[in-house]
Amino acid sequence: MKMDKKKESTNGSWYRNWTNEHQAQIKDLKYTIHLFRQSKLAMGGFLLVLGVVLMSVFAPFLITHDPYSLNLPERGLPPSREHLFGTDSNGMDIYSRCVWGGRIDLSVGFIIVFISTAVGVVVGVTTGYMGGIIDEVFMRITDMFFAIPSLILAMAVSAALGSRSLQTIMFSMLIVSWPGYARLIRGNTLAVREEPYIEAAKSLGASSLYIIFKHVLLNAVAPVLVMATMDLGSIMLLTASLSFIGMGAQPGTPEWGRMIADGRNFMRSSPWMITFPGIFIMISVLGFNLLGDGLRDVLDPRLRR
Amino acid sequence: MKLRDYILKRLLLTIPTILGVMSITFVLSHIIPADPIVMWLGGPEAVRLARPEVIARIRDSLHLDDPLWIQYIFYIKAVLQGDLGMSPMTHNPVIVDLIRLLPATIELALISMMIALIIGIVAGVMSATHKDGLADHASRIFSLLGVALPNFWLALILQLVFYYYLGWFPDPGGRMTDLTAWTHPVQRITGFLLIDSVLTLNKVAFFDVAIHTIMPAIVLGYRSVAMITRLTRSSMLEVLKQDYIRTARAGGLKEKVIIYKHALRNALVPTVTTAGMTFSYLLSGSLAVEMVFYWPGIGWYSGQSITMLDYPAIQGVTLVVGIIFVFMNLIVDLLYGVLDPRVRYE
Repeated sequence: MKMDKKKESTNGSWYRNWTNEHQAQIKDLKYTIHLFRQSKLAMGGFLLVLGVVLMSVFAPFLITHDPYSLNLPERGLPPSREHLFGTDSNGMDIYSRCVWGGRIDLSVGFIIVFISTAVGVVVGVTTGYMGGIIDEVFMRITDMFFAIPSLILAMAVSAALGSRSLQTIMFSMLIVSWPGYARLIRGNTLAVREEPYIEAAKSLGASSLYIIFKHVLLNAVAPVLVMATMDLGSIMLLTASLSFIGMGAQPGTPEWGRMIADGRNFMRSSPWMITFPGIFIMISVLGFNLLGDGLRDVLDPRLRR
Repeated sequence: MKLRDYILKRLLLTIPTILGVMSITFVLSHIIPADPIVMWLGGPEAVRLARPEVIARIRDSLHLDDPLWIQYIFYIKAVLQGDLGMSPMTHNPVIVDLIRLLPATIELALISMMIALIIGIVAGVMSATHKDGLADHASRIFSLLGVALPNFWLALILQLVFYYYLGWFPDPGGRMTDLTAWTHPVQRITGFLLIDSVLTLNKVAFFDVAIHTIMPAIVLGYRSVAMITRLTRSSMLEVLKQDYIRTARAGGLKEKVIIYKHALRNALVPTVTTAGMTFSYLLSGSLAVEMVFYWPGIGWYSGQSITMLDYPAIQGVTLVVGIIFVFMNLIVDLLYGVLDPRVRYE
């Protein structure tokens, strides 16, 4: 009999049950999407980001030439129907290389933001929840990282690691970017910890782990999402800058910053070599910045109305 | 808290931060995969040929056989005495190179900052007073691009257009043309070429340096223009909503007087203090910009050091930029404390 009753309540469509349980949240989400769609700049950013992501995902179908193959007889050709953006000093098709570069720059950005968030969650929640001496030590350590501008620190770390490759600058950008996430999540944890409902949950016998997952982390989702989106833009800029000054991707790699560095010596005879990769960088960074701005306006309850 | 106590407390707080910067550069100089002996002697061949006493002497002078924490103490002591090691690239002590090159970077950064403040404040006020008008949209697009454009790319494109195609600006190759450097050399007094040429009444050199400075300064300052514009706009909008502005309007004051005398003065507090923060963008931005314009400052120097794998130079640049950055933050905080007494009680 008991079994039957339980079965009844979970019977029918799980989807309907789930929506019934989460009615409030779904309503909230719908309202958020509605607000987001009303902002022209946010939608513009969303479309730009969507475009860049789709371009990178479907790059194998979009390219017209192999982005890595040399074709010396066709070097330095201006844009034409055969080569949409012209060819570079090695005869490689710039259009295909720009499209392919999206895969490199975007995945670098996503990987770094993902790992930084993971590290930031673990460190930030631990220090924020425990407080005391651990928290104090953590604050001083992150202060050290904030004391040096990120491009300079990333350059110094990459230089110290010795080898020049994308992996090296990814590691150094990770070192530069995790403290920001950890600080954000720590601050959030501290604020939530003092809330009366945490007190209530504790008095009802909720475990620390439950509180961390159910309240602390759930509250951190919105600000972390905003920060990660904005960060994707700045990390793409950082990747391009580091590659441009010669640290990251090596000559010949279709990475946007590297392509500009490669085209620098030929910019007078083939200005298209530097022009197009720069436009791709600009569009992606602009897209992520606009999207981040829009998300912040929509997700921050204080800015909502 | 009294202002004096606040300043004292803030000053004391910079000490651990600077120690932190030193610790980072110390750690970085110890994870370098290259063998310091090889670096010092200039190649594995030299190490093989060198007499064992020589190698022992180098090991001793670099404290390579001491435990790490003793090396750390020696490092801190050396840095405090201004010894940042020798640069294998230039065969100079790194500190000498940096002192020689820093004025060029600081001069460029200050001029960029001036340009950024002027354009940023004017554009910010314009877009606040014409909210949602044409000027507002134009300045919004302008500043959005400023944050999204890679500065090295902008530098190359401007070179292409204004030097190669239009010929309006001189060859982007340093701070003055070689000819002027020969005929009208600038006597070094402060190291800031513009100031030195004024002091020595060297008109030809002054104009030559000035015209060489315009393009890199604009490129470097663009990002800061964007930030200052947005900040001025939002604080201006905030101030214009205040009661005393309405009172001034009701009293029949001219709109110009209201905006520039009453509103702007109050709106500028966050702008001016935050301008100090954008200095970090100028310093790190100068890395790529100086490389593109062959501007002989620390950005260009670190570019060279990266190519030559000159580790002491790279760590030296990191340390110096870090310390400048810490002090800029200190100045900003102090300004805030002076301008806004609430900050002192946090």
